[in-house]
Amino acid sequence: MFSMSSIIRTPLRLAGSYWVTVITLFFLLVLTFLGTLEQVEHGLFVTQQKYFNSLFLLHQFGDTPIVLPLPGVYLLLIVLGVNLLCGALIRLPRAWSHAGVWISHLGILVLLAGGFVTYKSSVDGHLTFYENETSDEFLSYNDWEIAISEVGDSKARIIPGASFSQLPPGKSTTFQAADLPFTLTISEFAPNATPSPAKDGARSVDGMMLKQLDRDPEQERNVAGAYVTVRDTASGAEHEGILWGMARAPFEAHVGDKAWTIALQKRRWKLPFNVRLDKFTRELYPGTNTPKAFSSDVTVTEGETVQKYLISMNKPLRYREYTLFQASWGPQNARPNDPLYSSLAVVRNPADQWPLYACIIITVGLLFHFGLRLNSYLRQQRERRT
Amino acid sequence: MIGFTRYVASWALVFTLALAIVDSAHSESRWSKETQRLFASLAIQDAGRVKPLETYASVELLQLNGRRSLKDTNGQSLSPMEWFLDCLFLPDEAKKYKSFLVENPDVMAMLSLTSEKDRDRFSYNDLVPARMTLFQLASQYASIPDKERTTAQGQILNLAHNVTDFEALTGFLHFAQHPIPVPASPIFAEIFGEKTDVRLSEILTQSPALQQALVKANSAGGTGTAELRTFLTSIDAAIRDADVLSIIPPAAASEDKEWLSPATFAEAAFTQQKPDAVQVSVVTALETLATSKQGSAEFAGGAAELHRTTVELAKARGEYRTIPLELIYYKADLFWYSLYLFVLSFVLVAISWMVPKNKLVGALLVPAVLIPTCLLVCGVALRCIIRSRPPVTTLYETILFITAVAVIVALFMEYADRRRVALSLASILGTLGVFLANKYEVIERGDTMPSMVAVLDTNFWLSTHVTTVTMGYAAGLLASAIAHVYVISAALGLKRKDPGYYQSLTRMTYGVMCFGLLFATVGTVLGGIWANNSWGRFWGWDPKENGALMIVLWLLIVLHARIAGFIRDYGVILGAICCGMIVAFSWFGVNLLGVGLHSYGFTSGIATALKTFYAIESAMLLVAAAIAIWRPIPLVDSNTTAHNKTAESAG
Repeated sequence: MFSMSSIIRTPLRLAGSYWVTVITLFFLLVLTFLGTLEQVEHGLFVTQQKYFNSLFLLHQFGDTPIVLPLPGVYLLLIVLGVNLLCGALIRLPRAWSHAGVWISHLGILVLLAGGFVTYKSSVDGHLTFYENETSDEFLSYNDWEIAISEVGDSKARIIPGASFSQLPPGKSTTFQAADLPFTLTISEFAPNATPSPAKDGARSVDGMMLKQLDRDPEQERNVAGAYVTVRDTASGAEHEGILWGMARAPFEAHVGDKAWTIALQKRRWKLPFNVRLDKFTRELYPGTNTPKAFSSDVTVTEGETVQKYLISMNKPLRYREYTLFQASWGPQNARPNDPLYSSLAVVRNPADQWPLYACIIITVGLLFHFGLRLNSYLRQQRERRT
Repeated sequence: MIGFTRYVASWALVFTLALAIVDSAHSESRWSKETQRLFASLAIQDAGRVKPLETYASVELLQLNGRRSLKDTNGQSLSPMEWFLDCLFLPDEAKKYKSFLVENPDVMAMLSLTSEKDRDRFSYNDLVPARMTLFQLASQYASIPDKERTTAQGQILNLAHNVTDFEALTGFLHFAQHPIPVPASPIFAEIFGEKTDVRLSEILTQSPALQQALVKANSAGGTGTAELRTFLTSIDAAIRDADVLSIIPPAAASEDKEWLSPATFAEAAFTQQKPDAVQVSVVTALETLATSKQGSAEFAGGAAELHRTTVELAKARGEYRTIPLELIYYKADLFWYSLYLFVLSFVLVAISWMVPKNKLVGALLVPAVLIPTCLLVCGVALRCIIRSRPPVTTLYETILFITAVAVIVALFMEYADRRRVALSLASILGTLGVFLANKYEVIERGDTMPSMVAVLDTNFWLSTHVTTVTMGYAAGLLASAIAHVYVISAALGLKRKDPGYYQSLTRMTYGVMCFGLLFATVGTVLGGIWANNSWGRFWGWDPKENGALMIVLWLLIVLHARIAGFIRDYGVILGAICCGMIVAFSWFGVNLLGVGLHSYGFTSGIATALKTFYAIESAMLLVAAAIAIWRPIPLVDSNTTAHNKTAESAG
C-alpha cells in the first residue's frame, strides 16, 4: 500500500530531481547552439518560431535527409520551471548557509515567470512617422491582418492573421459576418509574394497573378499576398481579387449598392493616447556617416493632458503600460536635408521590469552563497598552510 | 642547479638591456626629434574623433604595411611619424619604400607582381604599372557581397583602398607647393597687385574681395566673370588632393563640430563673411613647410607655427585634452612591455619548475608576474581615461580586459593556494592574452579607439553588462586553463604521490567556475535589461546573447551534475575544458556567423586562430578521455563534495 504522502512525494521527487534539471539544461544548451547556427541560413524569425517558441521540432542536419526530433525551448523552459518549483518543495531549506542558493533560484523563477508572461501577453510593434505627424496606433513587425471596410466608413472589421496565415497550399478559408452582405474566401496565402503579369495556366485576376517568392531570412522584408473571392450572399455573384501587403490601394468590391475595401495590412493596435513627432534629431560623428545618437522629441496627448518627452537610444519613454523606444530612422538612403522619419518601437509588456527584479535577486543570492564558499575555502587554505 | 639559474637569469638581463639599447639607439633620422615631436602631437579629426597625428600615421602605416614600421631604401627602419613626414614632404622618396603588404600569391598574379614569396611587400612605384588593373578589379569586386568574396578579391579591394589613401597623402601638400596662377585682368590687379601667381592662404585672406568681385562682375553684365571662373577652377584643381587630413579645428566660437582640411576650409571660405585669421595661418604654415628645405630654420619655424596655431585652436575648443595622454599611451607601449615581461616571467616560472626549492627564484616569481600585470592594468586604465569609457567597448578591449581579469584572479588563487600553479597560469595566460591582443590589433589594422555606434553610447550599461559578462568569459577561460594543467599533469604522471595537488586543482577549477557563473549570469541578465531599454525586448535570441546564455547553461549543468553526484572531480575538469570551448564560441565564434544585432563586434580575421584553438581543445579532450580510460588518476575527490552531500541531504 502506498501512503498518501508517498503518492505526492514520488512524482514531486521525480519532477524536481537533478536528473531532470541537468537533462533540461543540456537540451536548452543544444537548442540554443543549433538555433544560433540556424539563423545564418534561415534568419531570426523562422529560427525563433522553430527552435525557441515551439514544443517539439525536427532538426535537419544541413542538406542531408537526417532529422533529429528535439523538444522545443518553450517546452524545456516550462519543464525547468516545474523542476525548480518541485525541487524547492522537496528540498526545503534547513540551514541559513543555503539561503543564497534559495534566493538565486527564486530569482531564476522570477525570470522564467517574466518570460512566460511576456510570451503570453506582451504586444510589440512600431510607430513610424515623419515630423509633425500624429498617430494613435502602432503596427506589428511581422503579423498580418485583413481589414474590411465600407467605403466612407472609417470603422473596419478585422480578420486576424492567425486565421489565414498558416493555410496549407491549395487550401482556402471562408469568413462571414452577420453585418456583412458577403462572404470572403481567402486562398493561396503566400508569406512573401509580389503581383506580376499572369502566365499561362496560372490563376489570374485582371491579367495579374500573385507570384510567390522565397522567404527572406529578414522577416520584415517579406510582403505577404493572397487571393480573395467576395461572394454576394444575396445574389451569389462573385468578385475575385488579389491582396498584397504593399498595395498602393486596397481591393475594392461592389456588393449590392455598396462598395467595400479589403486590405491586407500589418496588424495594428490602438494606443490610448496620441503621439506627435515634434522633431527628429540625428547626430553623426563629425566628418562621417556613423550615427552618434538619434532622438525624437514627441508630444503625448491624452484627453486634456499634453506632455512633451524626449525619446533617445537607451532612454525610452514609459507611459502608462506602454514603453516607446527609439528604434530606428530612415530613409537610409536620404540625402542631406531630406526629411527623415523616426521609428519608435512600442511595447506593452506586463513583465517589463521583472528581469531587473530577477537580476537583483540572483545577484544577491549568488554573492551571498559564493561569498560564504570563498570564505570557507580561504579558511581551509589557511589551515592547510599552518 | 643554482649555476644554471644564474646563467639563464644573466642571459635574460642581457637580452633585456640589448632590447632597450636597440630601441633607444635609433639610427640618425632625416627628421629632427623636435620636428617629429611637433608633428606627432598635432591633433587631427579622423573617423569621428580627434586624435594625435601620431596615432593617425601609425594606423595608416599599419593598414598599408601590416606593421607599425618599415624600411626605407637604405634599409633604415622608419617610425610611423618619419614615414608620414616622408609621404608629406618627400613623396617621391616615400613612393620607393616597400610599404604595401600583399598577402596572397593570387593577388600578385592578378597584378603581375613578381616575388619569390607568397607574402611580400611592394613599393608604390612597383604597383604603378598594375594600378589600372587594380582599380578595375576593385570596382568589379566591390559589388560582390562581403560573404561571397574570395580572400584574394577582398585583398584586392583593401590594396586599392590603401593605394588611394597613399596617393591622397602624398598629394596632400600639392596646393602648398604650387602657387595658383592669377589671370591677367584688372579685377585681380585690384586684389592681388601685380602678382602673377598667389598662394592659397593669400586667396583665403582675400576671399571676401573675390566674392565681391564676382557679384560685381555678374551685375556688370558678365564682364570679368570668365576670368574669375577660370581662377576659381584653378583653385579647385589645386586643392583637389588637400582633403585627406582634417587638421584645421573650427574657430573657437563656432558651433561646428567638423574639423576642416585645407580643401574644405577653402570651400567654406567662399561662403563665409571672412575666414578666421588663425585658421588661415594654419594654411600659411603648411605652405611654409612645403616650400622650405627640411632641416632648415624656415622649416622648423613652419612646424612650430603649425603646431602652435592648431593646438591653440583645439585647446580653445577643449578638444586637445586627451591628446598628450594618448601620445603617452602609444609612446609608453605598455602592452608590448607587458608581453615582454610576461614572457620573462614565464621563463622564470619554467626555471622554478626545475628548481622548486630555490629561494631566489621563488622570491622573484611574484614580482615577475605582478609587474607585467600592473603594466597591463595601467594600459587598460589609460585607455579608459583617454576615451572616458569603461574598460570594454570593442573586441580588442575584451582581450585586454579578459587577460587582466584572468591574471588577477589567478594571482588571488595563488595567494590562497601557494602552490605556484596559479602563479604559473597567471604568467602563461598573461603571455597568451597580451600576445593575442597585439596580434588582433595587427589583423584588424585599425584605430583601437574607434567612435562608438549610437546604441553603445552609454557608459552605465557598458560598465555594468559588458564588464560583468566579460568577467564571466575570463573565469570560464581560467577554469579551462586550470583543467588543462590537471590533464597535462595526469598525462605526464606528475605529482602522483601528492593527491592534494589534484584536489587543489579541482577546488580552484570549481571555485573559478562558480565565480564565472555569478558574473556570466548577472552579465547576461543585465545585457537583457539593456536590450529591453534599447530595443524593447529582454531576449531576442541574438547570437551574441545566445553565446552568453550557453556559458551560463554549461556552468549550471556542470555544477548541478557535480552537486547531484552525476560527475566527480574529473568530470568537473572535463566540464571546464568544454567551458573554455563554449567561451571561445561566444567570444569570437558567433562574430564569424555574420548575423545579429551585435554588428559592432564582427570580425573576419580570426577564423583560422579559432579553428586551431578548437583542434587543440578537441585533442586535449581526447587525451583527457584516454587518461580516464587507461591511466589511473589520483581520483581523490576534493571536499567540494562536502557541500554537495549537505545539499542532497537537505532534500
